[in-house]
Amino acid sequence: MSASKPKLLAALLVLAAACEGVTPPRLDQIGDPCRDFGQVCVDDNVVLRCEAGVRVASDCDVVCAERGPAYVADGCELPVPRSMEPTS
Amino acid sequence: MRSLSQLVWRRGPVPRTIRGVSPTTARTALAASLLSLGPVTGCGSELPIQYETEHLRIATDFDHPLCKGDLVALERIISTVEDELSVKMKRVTTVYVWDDDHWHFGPNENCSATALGCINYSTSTIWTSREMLEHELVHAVVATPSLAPFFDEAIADVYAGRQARFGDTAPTANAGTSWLTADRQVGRHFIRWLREQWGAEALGELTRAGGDSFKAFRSVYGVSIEAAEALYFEEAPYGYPSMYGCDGPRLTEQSAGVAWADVLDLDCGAGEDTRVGGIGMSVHRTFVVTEPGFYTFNLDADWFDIFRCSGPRVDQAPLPGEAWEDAPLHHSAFPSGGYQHYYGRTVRDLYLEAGTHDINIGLLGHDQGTARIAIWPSSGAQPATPG
Repeated sequence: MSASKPKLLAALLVLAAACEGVTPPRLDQIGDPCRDFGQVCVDDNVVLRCEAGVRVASDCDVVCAERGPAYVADGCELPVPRSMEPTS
Repeated sequence: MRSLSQLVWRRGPVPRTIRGVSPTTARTALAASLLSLGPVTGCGSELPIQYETEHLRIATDFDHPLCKGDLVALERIISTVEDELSVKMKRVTTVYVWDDDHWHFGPNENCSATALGCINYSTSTIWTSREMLEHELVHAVVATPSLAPFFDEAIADVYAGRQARFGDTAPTANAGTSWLTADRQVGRHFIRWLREQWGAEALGELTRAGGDSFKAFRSVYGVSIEAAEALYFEEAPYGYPSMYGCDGPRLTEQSAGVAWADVLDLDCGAGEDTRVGGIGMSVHRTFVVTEPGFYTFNLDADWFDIFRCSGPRVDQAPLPGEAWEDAPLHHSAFPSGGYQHYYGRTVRDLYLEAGTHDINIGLLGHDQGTARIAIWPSSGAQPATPG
């Protein structure tokens, strides 16, 4: 392979990338700006949510407490009424 | 505001029927792509020209006509873009429009396999689905194909009347994106914020400059796009409503802020505010509720759509269930505006919040007719309709 072929291949790859365009990264990390009401589970205890325009991590128990005493955390799910807790 | 006296409503022969692809295939393809392309080379179309306005020659694939109000609205978009961005639509543009269920026959054949619409700048020709008509029209007026796709597509969406919401990527992260990868939700919101923050004149300057708007940003706005983005992240609202909503004439009040009664003339061929709505035609009106509560509607029309108007900016994300209210806020659905649809002559006990409401009153058919409407508090007496 001549030395010019890798350069040509690289140039073609750059051209192809320019045509397809880059994909912008999502703003889904702690500290990123946001405006939504959405909540995304990180694990069984932590959710990411939007507070005052900034993405923050919140403890699931805190989220449930905000909804009132009738709610408890149930892993990475929406809070469920306390009456639906497993009994055993 | 430009006079629309030159606008001609002329309906030509019924367009040919195109066959060959099932609606299911069309819907699948539609779901797979919501793209609109910029400049392309097309091979023309056989649809006959049916309508001519000051700036447009229009052929459609629909089973129904366009009403005069639709043509007025298209010319209004052209004049808005021209006035705000200081550009001029230099040539009459030929527009081929396909029903959204048939979009693949037109844009697909003339643009690309995934496009919902496109424009050929050299021949001033648009091929588009109905959904993307206004968007492509803005491209035709702006006519700066060298613009970075992120800005070009967003400007077309905003001036086409799309709503805008805060998105999931940073505007500056869209440098280097293409027609395919540019985050249009973010683009719409950022462009709308720029317009509200620093005015349409600067936006027009950025548009006319063409080229890489990310690099040209500082020369127009006096700050880097990174600094502008920081301010945007800090203070931009959740969303903006369409530029064109909620500006219909007011219904006649019978009791200030609580009761209305009116007689509306609908005329698809001659009514400047009569627009087509599928198998019918409709007109928009507005009314301002001062006393929230339950209201009764009585009409001799066939249907009405209603929503509560947002302010110039929407700071709060919609609450769960907001879109299902009796008269939801316009921004409660996305990307199209939210509304509730009602049939029947009498609809009782719709709960209306205080504020401006938009009501779209429809009749079946595309000819002409009269609709009487009365709205009053459910606990009170029906007001007399004028005439």
